[in-house]
Amino acid sequence: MRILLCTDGTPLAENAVRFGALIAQAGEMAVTLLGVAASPEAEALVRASLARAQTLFPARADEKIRTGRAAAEIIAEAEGGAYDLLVAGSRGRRGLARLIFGSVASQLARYARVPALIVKGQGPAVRRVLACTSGDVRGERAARWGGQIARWLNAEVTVLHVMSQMALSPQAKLDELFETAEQAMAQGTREGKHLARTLELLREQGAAANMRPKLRHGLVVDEVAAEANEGGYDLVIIGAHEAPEMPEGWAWLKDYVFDDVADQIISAVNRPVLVVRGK
Amino acid sequence: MSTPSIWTRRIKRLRRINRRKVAIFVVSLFLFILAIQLLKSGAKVLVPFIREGLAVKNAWNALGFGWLFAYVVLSGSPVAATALTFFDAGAIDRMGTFAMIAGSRFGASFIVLGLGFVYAMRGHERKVSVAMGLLSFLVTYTIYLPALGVGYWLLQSGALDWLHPTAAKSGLGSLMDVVFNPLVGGANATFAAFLPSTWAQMGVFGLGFGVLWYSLNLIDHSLPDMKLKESAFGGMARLMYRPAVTFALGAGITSLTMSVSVSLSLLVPLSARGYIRRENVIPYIMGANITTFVDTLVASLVISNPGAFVVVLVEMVSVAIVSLVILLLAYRPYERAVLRVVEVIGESRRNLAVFLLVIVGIPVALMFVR
Repeated sequence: MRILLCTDGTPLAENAVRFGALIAQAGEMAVTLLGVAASPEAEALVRASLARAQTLFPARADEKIRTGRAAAEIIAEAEGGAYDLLVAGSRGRRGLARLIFGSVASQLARYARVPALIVKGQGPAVRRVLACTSGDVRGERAARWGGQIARWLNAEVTVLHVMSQMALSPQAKLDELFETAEQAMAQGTREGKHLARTLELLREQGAAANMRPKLRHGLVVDEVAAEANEGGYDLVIIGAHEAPEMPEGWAWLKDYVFDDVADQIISAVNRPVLVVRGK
Repeated sequence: MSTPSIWTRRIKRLRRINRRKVAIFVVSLFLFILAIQLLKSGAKVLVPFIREGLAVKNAWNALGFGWLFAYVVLSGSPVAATALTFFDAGAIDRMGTFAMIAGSRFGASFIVLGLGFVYAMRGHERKVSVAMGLLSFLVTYTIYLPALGVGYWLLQSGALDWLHPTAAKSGLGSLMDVVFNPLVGGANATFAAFLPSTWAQMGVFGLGFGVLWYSLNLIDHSLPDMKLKESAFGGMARLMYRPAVTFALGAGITSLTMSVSVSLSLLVPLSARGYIRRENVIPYIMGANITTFVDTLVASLVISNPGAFVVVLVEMVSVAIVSLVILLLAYRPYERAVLRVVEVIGESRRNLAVFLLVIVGIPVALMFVR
């Protein structure tokens, strides 16, 4: 497997590289260090950062430098280099600052076709992993990654599904709207079957025996953030869909309409978040 | 070779349109217009009764009256249309009409909640049964309350009064006079043959209200069987993360159904288990709350009173302005706050009882504001 660790020379980016190095070494991945300089004048700073990053690895990692807009350069490198995972830091901009200045992390999470690990907050230990599943194939992709990382780092995994549904009609099965994961699995409800299937996927990936399902009820973003904070997880993994191809010139519509909760979760959770995106 | 196949598909689709439903729609539209004309004809005699008997003397009273009236008839649209005929008869002014129409929406939003109560009383889990109704109710209230302020300003400033000529030029008035005057005259003559003048006109008004209520129900039945899951909306789940998209969907569907509760029920097929995501339902109701006035707008054209048209337009614009401000600037906090209040109200019987007392007590209290 190949991993792309990105730095622009800032402490936050170097924190992300350290976190990525931990996963790269545990997963015995081939490492490429990518330095992105906003301008030619910033290249010296980036080279110094790359030199510090090299000290994290026993053997010299591949090194590349690109100059330009961070998100665009990282995505170009990720897509051209057949990487399995890219890692970048997040400044954690929120609200108006995020609206005005944008967020590199947000763009990577949205546009990168390879799984993007956005590092925020602490690190670099990973003892507890929260794999969030939406109840479909995206959730299964997230679970596979969760299983792999848990196996590499011998971490605990919690599989979380959030039921944000409410009863729309009198015929709705009301009991399912407030049950626990254990009840859902025992009764074989759709969520229960999905959680059971996800746990099976984790086992297939060789995750440690210490894994548990969890069902929460409420708004998806709020419940994921609450679980991430209350449970003291070191890594949150989410599955996200890939927006369909749109004709030239309609990218703005695609950006706006085909949004999902990945960006909101990255913004709400002060933990490293791995976004596993795919069709 | 692709062109013929496209046309074949289009022709097949057209053939699938249920002729019976088209006929029902035409009949319901005819009855709707007739009902408005009957109401308009009978409303004049009700002016003293509304002003003195019901003591609807200011906008607050009109708000409470529209609200309670909608509770009684379990629908907002007939009340909103009736408000326009009261305005046309001079029983209430522009502000009063605006408030009564807003009140009709407050009362109408009780329908979904009422259904929840029925299911809760039948033994279903209370909190879950009433959640949808409470949500629909609270979204309507929290949007319309600030919208009352925006609407007041729009009416006082006359910002939309330039639309008078548009309404006047609609030309619907003269056409309808030709078709419906004989029918309305016939109804007046029939009632006058059996009753004294005042009672005869009240009878015409009552008949008009009955026909209006029936025609609106008939319109619901004339709607095509929309199977959203099997249509282009089947892939909506991926689109519905964005509140603005769901907002537009709610507005679009309700512009056809003209009823928020009918629009909500159309979403049922999207989920085999009768569920909807919390994230989706709030903007959907917000959008639906704007276009639910389409039938009232049509009624204002039928009445041929440009002032009535402007009042309905102000209603739609003010609700749209408040909804868009919330959507663009404060949607997430708003969503959390509304859901939290729903949770608190549904938490205990006492909370629910207090809430019920409040939503009945407020409109009653409004009737006494002087």
